[in-house]
Amino acid sequence: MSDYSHIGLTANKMPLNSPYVNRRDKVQGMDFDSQYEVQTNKVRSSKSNIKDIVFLSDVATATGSFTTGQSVTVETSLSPVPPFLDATNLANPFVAVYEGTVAQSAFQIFPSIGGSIATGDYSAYAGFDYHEFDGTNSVYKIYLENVAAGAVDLLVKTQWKYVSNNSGTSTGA
Amino acid sequence: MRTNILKFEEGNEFITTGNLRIMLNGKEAIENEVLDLNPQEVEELRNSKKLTPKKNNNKIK
Repeated sequence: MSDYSHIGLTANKMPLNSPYVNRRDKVQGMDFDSQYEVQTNKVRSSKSNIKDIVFLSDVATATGSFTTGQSVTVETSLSPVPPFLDATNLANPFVAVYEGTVAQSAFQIFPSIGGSIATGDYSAYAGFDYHEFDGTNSVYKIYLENVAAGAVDLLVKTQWKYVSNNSGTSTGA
Repeated sequence: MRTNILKFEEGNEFITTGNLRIMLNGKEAIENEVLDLNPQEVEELRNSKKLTPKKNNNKIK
């Protein structure tokens, strides 16, 4: 094949900088998501299949002790992390409080009462507090009062399940 | 993992990991020691602070 590159032409006598010569390889539909990262501020679609938008936070734990007449307030929160600090999230907290230092169903205090926990030993209130709600935060509180249990250990475990369109945008539990 | 040792005015101690806030009798801890521990070290720390297990044998549910 002839070489015309010294005068700026291809072997077919096309200019070296022509769009035809520099065209990109054809991309198949199935390759699209692996070859392109598309960014736009608005998408209109009649149907979208979005996956991987539900995440689990790390598990948070607390251990300690309290005695009759004392109360413990546990506050678990889910917070966006940089660079998405102003991103809202939709989240559900999962919580469990146990008497002792081991997560055993028989010794669960909240939200279930285990078979080894005497009725009346504890008083508990919990929920999302509208009083401090700022429209974006995800905070869940448990107020636990030791009514007649004596000196006991406590174990608290919490984890958030949340929806976000930015992976890894939240921390907490 | 980030570990907090919270010490309260009443003498109680709580060890937390993750984004948990603990108050005792409606008050914040007076001391908060922040450590970076692996899960095994957190467990060892907790075991060192366990109370005597409570006896529930005589309780009627």
